[in-house]
Amino acid sequence: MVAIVAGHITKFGKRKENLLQLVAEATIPIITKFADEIDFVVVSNTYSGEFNSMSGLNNLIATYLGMDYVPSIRVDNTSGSGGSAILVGKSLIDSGIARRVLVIGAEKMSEKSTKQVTSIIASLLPKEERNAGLTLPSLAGLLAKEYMRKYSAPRESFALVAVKNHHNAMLNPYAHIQKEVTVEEVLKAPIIAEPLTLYEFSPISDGACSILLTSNEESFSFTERPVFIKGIGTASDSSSISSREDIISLRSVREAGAIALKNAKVEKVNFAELHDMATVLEIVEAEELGLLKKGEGWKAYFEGVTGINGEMPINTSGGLNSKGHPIGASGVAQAYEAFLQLRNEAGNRQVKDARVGLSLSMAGFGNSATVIVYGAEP
Amino acid sequence: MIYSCKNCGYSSFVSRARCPRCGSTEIYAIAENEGRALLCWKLTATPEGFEDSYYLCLININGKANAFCRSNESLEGDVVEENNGICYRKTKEAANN
Repeated sequence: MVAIVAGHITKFGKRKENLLQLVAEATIPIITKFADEIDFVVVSNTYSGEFNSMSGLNNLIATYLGMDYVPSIRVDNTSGSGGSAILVGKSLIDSGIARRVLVIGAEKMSEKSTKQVTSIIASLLPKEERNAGLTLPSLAGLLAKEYMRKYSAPRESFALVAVKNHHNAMLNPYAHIQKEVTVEEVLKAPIIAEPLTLYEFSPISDGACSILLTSNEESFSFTERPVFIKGIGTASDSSSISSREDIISLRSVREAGAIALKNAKVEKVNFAELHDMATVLEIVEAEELGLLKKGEGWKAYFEGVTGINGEMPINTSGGLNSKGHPIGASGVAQAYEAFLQLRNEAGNRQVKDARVGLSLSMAGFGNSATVIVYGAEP
Repeated sequence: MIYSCKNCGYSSFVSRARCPRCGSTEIYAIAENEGRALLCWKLTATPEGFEDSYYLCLININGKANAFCRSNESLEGDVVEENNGICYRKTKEAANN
């Protein structure tokens, strides 16, 4: 079993620092204390080649951090890289290959135009679908239209996700977007992918986040309050969206969640960090994970269920929607939010009596998913 | 264009080296490009090299495979999909040819 014993994050947003400097900002506070203890570095990043003209990033990072001789690898699983990197880090410890693994998530995106970023990210789609003009945001539009039709969900349901997550981000000093929005403002904003508007998509962000993993047994020698990884599950779906039997279900999310919850031996979590690249995804993912009732998840947003003080708080950090979505950093930042919540260190966005949390790190449009269940106790 | 498995008939809009249903590696391209529009929606944040806005359409190719294409209008009913990812309404004139 593995625990998170330390973590740190940069402010997400349009940052002037380069990729290595962002990594250092997120990591120096950890390695200042524990550099001699760390015996492996796992870097979560996907687009350093496309965005920053850098390859071999894990080794460049280790060298920049003065850890030239510490073994390192890079995990590239697009938007799901963070969850996959934690899975790899945990596996390294479980297998005995490493004892203390530093997981670093980072991405520097803002030097490219929106069209360039859209194009680069769409490269995860099969060429036939890409040539048709399909993009990741466009798939969210398709999902929203079909969800509304199938479940008679009002358009405002998705807008309420954006309102909530913008509000939560205001309580998170590291979040990119620091602005409250109303349902009316969301609905009147420029359409990105019909019917979804600007405020319903994650912004283009730079940022980095790091966490330190150790075995449960060692964890108390690093901190008095480790956060334990109680269960982890990963699953995949076809990268060809047109080949999927049900275009509005997220099979990988459902399967990864079931595995993680079974491994963790828990039936209920106190909060969840989900992959809300688009607002509609938060609702559909919550349903697939069993956090909200299938086909009725939208109703929870009219009743305040998913707010910080609700029955099932979702994306207390502001989520990808408002905290930001520096691709490789996002999944690691979700784990860091769980770390803060379970240590009662989340400040104004603290979930009362949080003992068990969950994160979903998702690649592509459910191309793969990693669900992690965290606990304040092993 | 769709791709079909010679062994089991599984068809897909995207090319593959191996059939996901039966494992056969005998996949061949079929020049089928007529189908029915299932859903169209507008995209206004588009990738580099594409128009600034267009409609994306999910279409079904002759009951064999779903596919995506783009159009300058929202499509309903019978459509024709070109290999460059563009699709258009199938006119009566075209249908008679």
